[in-house]
This record gives sequence, C-alpha cells and structure tokens, in this order.
Amino acid sequence: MKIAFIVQRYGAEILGGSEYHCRLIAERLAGKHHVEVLTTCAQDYISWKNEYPEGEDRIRGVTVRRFASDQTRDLASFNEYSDWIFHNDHSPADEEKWLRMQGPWCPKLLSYLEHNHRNYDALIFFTYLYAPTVLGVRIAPERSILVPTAHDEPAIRLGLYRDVFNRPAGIAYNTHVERGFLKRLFAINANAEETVGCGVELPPSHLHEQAPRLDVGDTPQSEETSADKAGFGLPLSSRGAVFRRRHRLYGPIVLYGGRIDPGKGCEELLDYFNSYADSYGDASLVLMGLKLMPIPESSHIRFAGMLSETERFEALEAATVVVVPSPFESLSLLALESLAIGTPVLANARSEVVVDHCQRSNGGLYYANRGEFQECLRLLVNNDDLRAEMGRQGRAYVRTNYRWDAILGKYDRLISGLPPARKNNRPRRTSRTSRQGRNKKS
Amino acid sequence: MAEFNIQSDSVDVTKIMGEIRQRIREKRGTDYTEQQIHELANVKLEQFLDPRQVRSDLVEHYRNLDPLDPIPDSGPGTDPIPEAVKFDKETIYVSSRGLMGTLIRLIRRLLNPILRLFFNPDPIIFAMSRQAEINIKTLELLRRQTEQMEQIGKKFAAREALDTLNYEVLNNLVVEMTRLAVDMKNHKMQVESVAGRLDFDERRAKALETVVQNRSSAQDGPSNTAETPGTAPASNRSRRRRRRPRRRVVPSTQTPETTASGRSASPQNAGKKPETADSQSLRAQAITDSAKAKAASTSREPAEPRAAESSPVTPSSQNVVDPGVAPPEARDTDDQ
Repeated sequence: MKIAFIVQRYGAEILGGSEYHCRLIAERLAGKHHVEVLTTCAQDYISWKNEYPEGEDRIRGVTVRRFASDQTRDLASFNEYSDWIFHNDHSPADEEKWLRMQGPWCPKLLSYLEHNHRNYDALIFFTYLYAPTVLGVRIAPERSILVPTAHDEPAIRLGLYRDVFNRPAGIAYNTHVERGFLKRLFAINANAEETVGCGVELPPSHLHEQAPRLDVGDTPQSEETSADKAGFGLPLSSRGAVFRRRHRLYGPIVLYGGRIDPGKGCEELLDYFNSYADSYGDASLVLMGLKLMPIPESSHIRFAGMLSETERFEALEAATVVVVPSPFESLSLLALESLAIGTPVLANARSEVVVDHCQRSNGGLYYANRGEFQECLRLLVNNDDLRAEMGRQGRAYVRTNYRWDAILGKYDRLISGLPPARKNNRPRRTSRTSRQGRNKKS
Repeated sequence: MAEFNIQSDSVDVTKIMGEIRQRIREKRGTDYTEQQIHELANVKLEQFLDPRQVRSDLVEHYRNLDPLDPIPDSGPGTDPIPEAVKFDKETIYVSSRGLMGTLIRLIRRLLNPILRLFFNPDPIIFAMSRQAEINIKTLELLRRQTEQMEQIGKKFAAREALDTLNYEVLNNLVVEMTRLAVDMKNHKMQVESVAGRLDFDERRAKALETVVQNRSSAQDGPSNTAETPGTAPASNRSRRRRRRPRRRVVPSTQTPETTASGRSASPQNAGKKPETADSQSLRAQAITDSAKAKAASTSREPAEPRAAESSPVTPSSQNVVDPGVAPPEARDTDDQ
C-alpha cells in the first residue's frame, strides 16, 4: 500500500510531540508499506520559515516531499488576532484569516495533494490544528485518517474545526481521554475510530530492567561498589551512571525533556522547583531539549542541551524522577518513555492525559499546586522502594499498552477499512512526477 | 507529622495522592487559595467580622445606613420664581402708553382730590410698597437657601462615595488580615519544620561523632589508652589520617602523590609531633591503596585535561571534581 503522511514539519531533529510521533509511525510503517511524508520546509514552528530545501528527501527510510510555505508567521499580530477571535463573535472568513495567519500556509502542498491524492491508498493527517490538515482533509476525506493530537485549548472551539473532525473516514486517537473529549465536542462521523497512541520501545542497550537503580544519595564512584556488593557486578555504565558522570551530576535528578518553553509549563516548573530546592535542596533539575526561554542561573538547575536518542534514554535512566509540566498534552511520549524505562513520572495535574497515564499505570504522581509539587517530589526522592515499585508498574503498563506490533496492527486495521485508491491516471502522473523529480535533480 | 508509610508491593497512585493532599491540608490548616480569598472578599462584611472584636456598633452602623434619596432638581416642571415688583406712591398714577400716558398721568393727578373724596389710597400705597420690599427680601433668602441646599447635596453625594470606599477599604483590610493569618500559620509550620530538621541534624551529628569516637577508641586499643592526657592532639591527628585512606579506596579526585607524600613533606607538618606506630602503618596502607587506585585509573582511562571544559553544563562549585578523573564519555559532549 502507498501511504502519505501529511504533517506541518518533519525531520530527525524536530522536537515537537506530534511531529516526533508522526516520524515514529511513518518509520515503522515504512517497513511494510510504501510511505511518503508530505510536509513543509519549516523547521521552526513559530515562524514557519523555509529552512529545509524544497523537493524530495529521504530520512531514515522514508521519502519526504517538502513544499515551501508562502508566508512566515508574525507572532505578535497572530497573538493579537487570536485573542480577538477567541473572545468575540466572528465570521467563517475571520477564521480562515486566522488559519492563514497561524500557518504554515503552504498552497503548493495542497495543490500537490489535490493532483496526486489518487496515487495514495491512505492519507494520514497529523495534528488537527494547522492549515495542511484543515484544508487537506477536504481533498479526499474518504481516504483520510486523522490523528488529531488534540487537547482542550481555545482554538479547538473555532467553527472551522467542525469539518476537520466530521469529514475523515478514520480517526486515530492517542488516548481514551482525548477520544472522550473530542466526542463531547464534535459530532464525529468517521467509519473507523481507534485509540491508537504511539509505540514505545527502548534501544537494546537500555533493556537491562533488573539492573539496580543508582541510589540517589550515591555518587557514581560509590555506585560501583554498591552494585558489586549486591552481587550484580554491573559495569559503571548501567542505570544512567554515564549520564551522571558526563554531566557531573550527583544526588537526585529531576529531569525534563522537550521544548523548554513557558507554554510547556516550564516557567511554573522552574518556580516550583526553586521553592523545593530552597526548602529541601537535595536535587538537581536537569533540562534537556530546545531552549526557548531564559533559564535562571542556579546551582540546582542544569541545562543539558539537545541530546542524541541514546543519551536521552541514558538521561531518563539516570533521572530519579521525570517531570512532565505541560498542562496540555495529547499523549506525552516523554511520560511514556520514562515509564518504559522504569523512572517514575511527576506530571502536571491539569494535563488529563498524563494524569490518566499515571493513574492507569500507577507509575507516577501529579501536582496541582506548589505544595503538591513539593510533597510529591519529596516523597519520590526519599522513597527508593516506592520509586522501584512505580518503575516496575510503569514498565508493565507500557509493555501492555504501547507495544509497536499492537500499534501498527491498529493502523493497519484503520487503513484496510478505507476504500481502495482509484489509480486510473496514476501512470501518467507518476511519470510526470518522476520526470519533474529528474529535472529538479539535474 | 507522620511520614508516609507506603508498602512497595501495593502502590496505588490515587491513594498516595489522597494521602499527600490530606497531609498538605493538615500541615497548612485552613488554607485559602487566591480564588477562595477573592470569593471571601465578595461576601458580606458581617460574615467575616466579629463585631465584638472590631467595633461594637460597626456592623450595625453599616447595616443601618440607608441609601440617601437623591436631591430633586428644579426640573422643567417647576415654575420660575417671579421677579419682584417695585411699588411706590407714584405707581398708581403711571401709565405705559408713552406720550399719551403722560397726559393720562397728568389728568389722574388733577383728579386725585376727587378720588380722595371717595377713599384714602395712602395706606394701600404704603402696604403695597412694604409688600414689595418683603418680596425682594424673601426672594434673596430663597436664592441663598437654594445655594446652600445645592452645597449640602454635593456634600451628601461625596459622603456616599466615601462610605462605599470605607466599606471597600475595610473589606480589603479584613481579606488581608485573613491572608496574613494564613501566611503566619504557614510560616509557623515552616519554622517548626526547620526547627525539627535542625534538631534532627544536631542529633545526627552527635551520633556520628560518638560513632567516630567509639570506632577510633576500638581501633587504637592499648596504644591510645597508654597515652598521657597531654598527647591528645596527636591521637586526634592519627584519627584524621586513618579516615583519609578510607576515602581513597575508590579512585578519588586527589592525585595519589598528594595523598601519599604531599602532606608529610609539607613545611606545615615539619614541626609536628612524631606519629604513633598505628598511624604509621595506616599511612603505609594508604600509600599502597593510593598507588593501586592510580594504577587502576591510568589503565582504565587516560588523563583528559579538556574534559572539564568540554561538558555542556557548568558544574556547580560543590560538584566540581578533578578533570583528571573525568570519564572518557565527557569528551563526547562536544559533539552535542
């Protein structure tokens, strides 16, 4: 089967949740199907500036077709307009204008899709929010599957999204919470609906589940002796010691990974963590990912920067607690990866999805205010047995619900439920496309 | 405050969260969120205030305050005040018909004696002129009173606004008092907690000191007991030296050379008392251990002078270790 993924950004270095999710699914499905990704040349979701070269590319076994955006986003005027549109009566034309201002505004992508959609057996749209999905779903709704990655935010209540959820033939929700929320908000007429999510699989080097956790009070030097005493005889590289040594971290680690952005709850996290450190002062907050806000100078707070996949998993292993401060999450791969690796999660209670993960897995706690943050963190940091048990339960939860074979099976079911593509004009278009491709290359 | 007692084989997150929230409630007492405080600010004053404590008749006073009736304007429906009319003894003879009027007045004057035959107009003229004067005075008085009333009205309006302001100020004061009371309670709890921790730390320090003393006395055995009271500093020094090699069991941040010979060869130690046999044997043991540690670290990893600066995070002052023992992975961070 030939499958097209339509997503606002795509690339190995892109950190966005839904984009990363899309990449994981595309790469996995590429093993069984002919997968193409249709996306923009943007790397930055704030400006949508064309940074990748336009045209065909290949990333980890997946063909990527990039189309240049016609305009960049003026964030100040967009925010102002958003504020107006969310609080005032407005017309559909106003919403179209808002959509265009939000971006990425990429008519070439839509035009390509309009001319070539028959070549694909399924069109899988990621994220309901952006113009490629809103306008792309209208082109061939009978062969479209939407992965909404939705959460409760003001934009979802705009009228233009009614069509986005009514039209596609299939919807792949990330969680039961998301499914319930969207069902309450929209009249969904999809032929096939599934709660799918995303698979989580650890690299083989991180599958030593029985390895003892580094005691939070121990330094890396003392870990070797404690492991030896326990009879495991594991090398120093086990359970995040490498990350600790590399970043010179001692004592408990509270880890956050992703965009370091006020919108992701990082401001609140820094504030709460500072008050925790002032009161108890026995942990370091390590921030890994893309820095989009200033980080205060403090001996308790470390910025680890962008890490490779291997080092990211090492960081998750090394962490005493992984904190998920974002109040808006539709799946939270950070939480799932942390649970998969056996590190308990401390989540923002306003994020229903992550709270649901915590409650279903019994692998994490959640905070609604400063006091709860401090108490939860203190409890997790000081209680090794509790952490170990939560880690065990978290691993079991991910193994049961987020295995890749189950996830891919659900996608296959959704795709096979779609009507087959009408490929009467495919040879002509294919040859033209290939000719264009050849011309571009030459 | 009781600590958590969580059994590791039955972790239930919902239950733990319930316990945490209960614990926070107990710790803080009756705490108010910002929203609750604002809700309280909108509640009527008497629900907040205890009248006996603030002012005996304050609530009653506010309760009895009736809103003032608005002062009616002299709107378009009310008639204008008529002008005062002048009246003197000539007024009854005048005419308003110009030249003809002068003639008429002359005729009236001529016929005045005949008029007086019928009645005396002088008392009427006198009464009327006096009435005119009274009218003028009354009008003046009325004007003044109107002005006074207007001023009083303005004062009443200002007073009404002031009353609202007073009420608001008082309400805010009560809210702030409540907030301060809550804060004070929290601070009190925090001070108690810190005091508890301090107490615990002190006890722990004492216990550790006792352990160290016991251990040293047990290890020193007869050599220590044989010492005279005057040799106490020497025994303390030997205790310190005994502890040092224990820290060097794992390759440490100090180089073995410094550990083994640096201190004894230093000029500061030149004038010190001779060591006991026990401490000398321990020192020899330390030299051996350090040499082993050095050999182990050299065989496992080469010295990396760039390791400290290659780390993407700045190590805090308390976490800085010797770059010489940095792991080989530290170099990789340049690639991030």
